[in-house]
Amino acid sequence: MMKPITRLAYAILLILTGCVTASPQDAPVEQLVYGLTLQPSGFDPHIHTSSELGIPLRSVYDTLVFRDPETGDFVPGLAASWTISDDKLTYTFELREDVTFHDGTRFDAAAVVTNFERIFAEATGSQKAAKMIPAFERAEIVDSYTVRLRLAEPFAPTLDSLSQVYFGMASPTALAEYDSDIYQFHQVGSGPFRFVEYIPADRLVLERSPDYAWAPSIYRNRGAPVIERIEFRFFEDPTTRALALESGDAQVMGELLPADAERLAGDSSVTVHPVNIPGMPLQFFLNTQQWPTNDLAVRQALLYGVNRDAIVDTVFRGFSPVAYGPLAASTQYYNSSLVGTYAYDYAYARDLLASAGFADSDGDGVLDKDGQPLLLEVVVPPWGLLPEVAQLLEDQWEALGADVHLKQVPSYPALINAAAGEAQDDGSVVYHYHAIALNDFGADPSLLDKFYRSDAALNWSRVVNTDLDLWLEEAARTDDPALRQELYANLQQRIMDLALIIPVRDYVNLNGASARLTGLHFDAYGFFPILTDLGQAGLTP
Amino acid sequence: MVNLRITVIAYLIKRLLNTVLIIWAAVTLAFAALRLIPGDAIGAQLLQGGASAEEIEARRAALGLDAPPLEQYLIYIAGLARGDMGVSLLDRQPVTQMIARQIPNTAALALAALSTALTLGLGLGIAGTAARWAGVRRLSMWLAALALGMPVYWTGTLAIWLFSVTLGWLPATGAGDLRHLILPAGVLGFHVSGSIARVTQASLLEARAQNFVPFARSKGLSWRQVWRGHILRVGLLPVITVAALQAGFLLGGTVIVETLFARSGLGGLLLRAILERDLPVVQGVVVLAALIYSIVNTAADLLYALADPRVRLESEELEFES
Repeated sequence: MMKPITRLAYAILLILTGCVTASPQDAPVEQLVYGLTLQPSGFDPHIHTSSELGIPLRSVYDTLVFRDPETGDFVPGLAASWTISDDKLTYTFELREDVTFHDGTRFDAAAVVTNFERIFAEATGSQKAAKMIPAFERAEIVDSYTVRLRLAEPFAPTLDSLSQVYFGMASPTALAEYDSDIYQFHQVGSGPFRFVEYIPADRLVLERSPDYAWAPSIYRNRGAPVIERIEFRFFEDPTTRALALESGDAQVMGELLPADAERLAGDSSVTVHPVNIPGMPLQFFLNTQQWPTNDLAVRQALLYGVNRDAIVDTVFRGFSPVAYGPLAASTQYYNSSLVGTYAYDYAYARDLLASAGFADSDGDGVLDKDGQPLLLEVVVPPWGLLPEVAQLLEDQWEALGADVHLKQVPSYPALINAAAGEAQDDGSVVYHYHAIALNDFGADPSLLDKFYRSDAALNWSRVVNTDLDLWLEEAARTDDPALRQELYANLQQRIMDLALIIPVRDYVNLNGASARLTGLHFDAYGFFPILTDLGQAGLTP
Repeated sequence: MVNLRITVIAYLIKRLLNTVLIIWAAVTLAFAALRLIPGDAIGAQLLQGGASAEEIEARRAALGLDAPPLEQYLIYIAGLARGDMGVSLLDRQPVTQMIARQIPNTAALALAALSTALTLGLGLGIAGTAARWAGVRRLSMWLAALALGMPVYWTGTLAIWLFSVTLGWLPATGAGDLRHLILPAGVLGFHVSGSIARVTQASLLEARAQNFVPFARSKGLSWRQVWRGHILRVGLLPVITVAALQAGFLLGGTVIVETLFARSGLGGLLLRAILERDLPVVQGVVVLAALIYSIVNTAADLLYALADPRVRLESEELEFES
């Protein structure tokens, strides 16, 4: 009974083998499949927040300025030059006059104003872009190719914000034709690639723009892209990512598992490109408002009690640098004097806990104080290999004498819920976590604002510290590099003095690419490939 | 014959009402359950950008999410009655349209997997009972146990590694032509075939123990004739029911397989909607699943009645009583 079926199956497979090998392997590859790792909530850069959206769209849009990944300086983009007024409230941009959008619309000052108006209009519901220049007042046309940006207060990271995909300049014709809600399916920019389609849960497709001739200096390719078409697909299962690369289904893939990256390093058909992502490291916030982590000595003990080297070796296979502070080493104004602080010291951690009044008075193996056990609730989202990290954290903290409860949450909305507190009748707030993982990415350290200002929505360490508030505000206002350097150095030092976080590792995106694909490199923000340079030296074998 | 036709029509009307009831119950449950968990797509997204509580409330109000749950529920049910499943919170696209676009891929996978499961499951089940050599019987049932016991995740990864990476015969991921269908449908079908094989074997053994078997033998029929003419005819009937039940499992199985094989389809849509709390999309998929489940079970009942005269008579009697 089995034999005919087996024979049939073999026959089918053999026929298929013929089909596969008959495909033209020697022809120049003009199409790519680029693997995205998760489905973002949306792809409109003016509205949505995801880093994932910039992977394709960084190449659909041009920005007024670009940030050089080598020097960190800003270089001309759609703006040929710019001046900043002495009071730092007015930015005047002289625009290029030779740019057209993919739909034929001319790029000019009116187009820039339309874009700013859209981003900052209440009705647009911008989740990220509008927050990136909080002091925005208005944008004005000076003449056809001169535009003026007015701020209510000085904001040093303005150019940094303008250089990101979230401020990509879209065709005013397309913006007028499509509602903000559905523009993400009909995007029109002026970049090296043209947006073709986005089907949620399915794919996003780009095609080369043959007329592209206004590349910024950070693009090696001065003309139109070599690659004809790029299809972005979602590879949400991490084990599938490496397999898809190896089988040739995808030519580029982000976020490989460290074990797979290690294995592929010895594979001649695939190259691994680890990229350090500037911003915040993988980290846990410690809740300063909830017993027992409201005690500085307890938080410090928890820091000394974590063997971060062991975690990075075990979980990340050494692919990531150990993190020591609230900023990754590739971020501007990173404070390198923090390196080596809170090095793993089990005995000292135990001493700190003892000095804070914790002892195992009932002999159950868990430290306690005033009859209360040292119980720690740790909230763990599914990304960044955090579940694996949390397992080791649990072991290490339990070795200290804590009783650790891991609370796994499946998604960002669930993480937000877990961080929320419950207001009590007496006005106090009860939280249900002691440590919670969250981080964000960016080249400018002003991103700390969202997390450490007393009134910040994402202040999950629940810290209230006037110095932090003052320094954050001043650092965002001044454009004096020396002063910013000093303020951010102080901020990083204070955050660690207060033991507000458990930094684990600098974020490294383990990209994999077909060895035949040349020219893969990334912009200053780390996540975003410069797609126009792909295949520059020939994608052919 | 006329009576039979009336019976079938009456039965279908009854099932249709039943289906509407099932969908209503599923939607209501999903609606309530999804709202028991606090938080929604809008709040989470806005907070990620650092929005204040007021801004979040304003946005939710603009989208009608601040209305009382009962009002939202009634609006939804009224829309559903007109075939309108609402608009995705994330994409602002009609849910019906989003689902319709992903149905072909998922339907192709589910049907191919079901065909594989039936072919393989029946084959293993029959071989495991009727094969002349004990070795073949044992091997068949061992394979069935293996199919049942190995999780789809594992067989899937193994299949990709073997057929795509090592042998390079088939694409590992994606959707498109038939070649993309073979691995995922094979993996899912193999898993489902295990339970079909088990039921087939059990049912055939039961049929073989019936009195008609020695009777047919004593009439002088060969074993082969007895198997073909009697045991299989009786013993394969319950497989219809099991196959229909497996169709329900397949809906869930496609989600796993689609994720593993990075295949576009309803699975990816549902997964994202659940994680991002895009409630209208989740509800839309629940409606679809309830609908498919009802249709498949109705079809199975009808098929059963056609294939087994005893069932037909019983249902006719029942119809006349009521």
